[in-house]
Amino acid sequence: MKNRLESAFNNIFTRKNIKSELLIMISLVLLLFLNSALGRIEKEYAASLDISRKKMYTLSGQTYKTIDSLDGNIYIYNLYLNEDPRINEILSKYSNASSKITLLNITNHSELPSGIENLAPGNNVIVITNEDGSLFEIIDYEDLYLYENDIKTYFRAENKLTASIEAIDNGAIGRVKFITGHGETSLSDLSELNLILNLENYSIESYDLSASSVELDPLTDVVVVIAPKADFEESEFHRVMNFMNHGGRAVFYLDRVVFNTTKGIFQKYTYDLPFIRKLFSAYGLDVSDNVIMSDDLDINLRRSSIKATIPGNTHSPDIVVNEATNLLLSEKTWCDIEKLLVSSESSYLVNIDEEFNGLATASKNQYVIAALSVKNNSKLALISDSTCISNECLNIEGNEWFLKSLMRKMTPVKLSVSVPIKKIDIPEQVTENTILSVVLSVGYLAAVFGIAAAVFMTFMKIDRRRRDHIRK
Amino acid sequence: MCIMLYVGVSFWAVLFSPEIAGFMDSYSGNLYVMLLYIPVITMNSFAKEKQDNTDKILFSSRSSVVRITLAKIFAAFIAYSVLVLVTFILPLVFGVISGIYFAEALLMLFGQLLLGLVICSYGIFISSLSAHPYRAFMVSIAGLFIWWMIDFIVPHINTAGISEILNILSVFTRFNAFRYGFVSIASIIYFISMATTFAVLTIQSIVWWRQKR
Repeated sequence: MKNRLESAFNNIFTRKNIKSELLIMISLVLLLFLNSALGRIEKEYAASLDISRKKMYTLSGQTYKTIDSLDGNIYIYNLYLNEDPRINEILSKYSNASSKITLLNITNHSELPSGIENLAPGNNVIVITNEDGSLFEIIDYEDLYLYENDIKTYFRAENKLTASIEAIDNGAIGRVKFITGHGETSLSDLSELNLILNLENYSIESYDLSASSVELDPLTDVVVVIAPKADFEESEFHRVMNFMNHGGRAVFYLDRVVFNTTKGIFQKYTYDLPFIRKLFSAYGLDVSDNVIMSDDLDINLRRSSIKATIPGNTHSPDIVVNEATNLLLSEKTWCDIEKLLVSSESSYLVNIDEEFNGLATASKNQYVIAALSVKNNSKLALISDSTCISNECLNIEGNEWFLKSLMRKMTPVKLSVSVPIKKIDIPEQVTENTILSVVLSVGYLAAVFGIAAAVFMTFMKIDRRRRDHIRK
Repeated sequence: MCIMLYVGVSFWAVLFSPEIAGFMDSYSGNLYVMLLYIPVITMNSFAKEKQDNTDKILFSSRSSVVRITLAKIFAAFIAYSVLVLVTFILPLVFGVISGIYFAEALLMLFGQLLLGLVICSYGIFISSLSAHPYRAFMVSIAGLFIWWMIDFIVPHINTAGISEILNILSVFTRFNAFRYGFVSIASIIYFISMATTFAVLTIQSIVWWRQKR
C-alpha cells in the first residue's frame, strides 16, 4: 500500500509531460484559492477557537442578551489601514452572533456612509450606525485598549462595542460635552476624568458655545463646565438657556478660591460671572466666596482639604474636596433642590478677604458644597470645587464614586449594559532580584551552549557518515 | 548560536524592565530573527550538492526524488525546531517566576513551528533552483523580506484583485492568530498547504534540473 502510494506520487510529480505539469499547476493554484475561501468561511462564521485565559474573543452573556433584543439593523464599519487581529476577531464574533449586525471591513473613508466619512478621524476606527445612518458612534482602535506604563494591558472591545450597539438601538447615545472658550480646565489635563467617563461608555466631546454649528441636544447631552475663568457671552448664555429650557442638563464645577501652593496662601478669584450666575439663579443656586474649613485645620500650613459626605447616605465612601466654598440655596419653590455634598457639622466658614480674622468667633455648622436643582425636566448641578475631579483626587475611591453617580443622575440617556473589561494575559512585574537574574542568565547561557554543542556535534556526525557512505 | 544568544539577550533586557508586560510580543518578535536562520540551513541542501556534483550520486540512490526532497525539508525543519524549542526556555522561565498562560505560549510555539515549516520548504525550493549556496542564501533572504513586506503593502493597495492575491500569499498575517490566543484552523491548513506547494515546486525543479543535465 505504502509503495503503491509512493509510486503514484512519483508518477504524478516526477514525470515530465505537459499534462502532468498542467495538472500540478492547476492543483497548486486551486489549493491557494481554496485556502483563501477557507479563511473567509472561518471569518464569516467566526469559527476560530478562543484559548486566551480571559476568553477575550468570546462574547459574554450580557452581549448576547443585548444582541438578541436588537430592534433594528446595526452596521459596523471596520475602517483600518493596519490590521489589529484582536479587533478583527471580536468584530467577526459580533457579525456572526446576529443577522441584524452587518460587518463591513473597509480600507477607505469614502466607503463610509455619507455625512460620516469626514467625521471619522485616523485610519483605524470603527463606525457603528443604525440602518439610515442617522445615529452613529465612532470608536478609535486606541479606545478599545487600556494602557498601563504605555503597554496595552486591558482589552475593552466588548465593553465598548456592546454599549455602543445598545445605545444606537435605543436611539440615543449619552454624550458629555465639555464647554471650552472661557478658560476652563482643559480636558487633556483631566485624563482620569476622561478615562472614567469613557469606561462608563459616554461619548466625550469638547464643545465651543460660540463657534459650534451643532446645537446641543437635550435628549442626549450633558453639558459640563469646569472652572471657567471668564463669563459666557450673551449669545452663549441664550444658547445654554435655550438648551436648559428644553430639558437640558448641565454640571458646573466652579472655583471661587484657590490655594497657591508656591506661596502657601489662599487666593480669591475676583472676576465676576454675571451670565453664569444668572443661569444659577434661574435654578435657585448661587455660590459664595467663603471657604469651608475643617475644625482641625491649621490654616497657616495647609490647604482646606475637607471630607465631604452625602446627606442621608451613611454608606457612601469619603469624598475629598479642596477650597470648597459654600453654596447658597434659594428658598423659593420653582425648583426642586437636592443637597449632593455637605461638609461635616464641625466646619467653619471663612471669608478670606478678612484674612481669617473672624475665625476664632466663627460658628461651627454644616455647609453645602454641591447641589442639584431640578426644574421641569432640566437639571443643573453646581459643585463649588473643581479639584475634586483632578487626576490626583479621582484616585480617591469616594471621588470616583461621586463623579459616576452624579453623571448617572444627570444623563438623559439610559446607561448601556456594562460588560466587564478583560485583562490581556501578560506576565506580572518581576521584582528586582540580582541573584535570581544571575542564576537565570547563567542557566540560560549554559542551556544554549550545551544544546547548541550537542546539535552541532550530531549534525557533524551525520554529515560525516553521509559523506563516508557516498565515498564508498 | 548567535541567534540563540540574541534571543537570550533580548530576554535579559525584558526580564527586569518595566516593559516586562511586552514579553510575549517581544518573544514573538524574535521569530523574525529566527527565520533568518532557515536560509543558512537550507542554502546548502541542493545548491551545494549541485556545486560539488554530489547530486548525481544522490539521485542515483534508490530513494526517489520525492523522498529526498521531503527528507531535506524535514531535516531543515528539525534543525529549526531545535532552535525554537531552546528559546522556549524563556517563556518557561517566565511561567515559573512570573506567571504566563501556557496555553497561549504553546499556541505561539505551534505557530512558530508551522511558519518555520513553510519557510524551510521555501528555502529548500530556492536552493533547488541554484547551483551556488550563497546565491540561494541571498535570494532566500530577499524573498523573505519581500514576503514580510507584503503585510505592509496590502493596506495601501486599492485594487481589490491585487490586494486579494497578495492576501493569499501573505504568510505572516496568518501567524497573528497564534500570537493573540485564538486557534485558526484555516491558518493551520494554509501553512500546511504552503509547505506542500513549495515541496511540489522543489520536486518539479529537481526533475527539470535532472532532465536538463
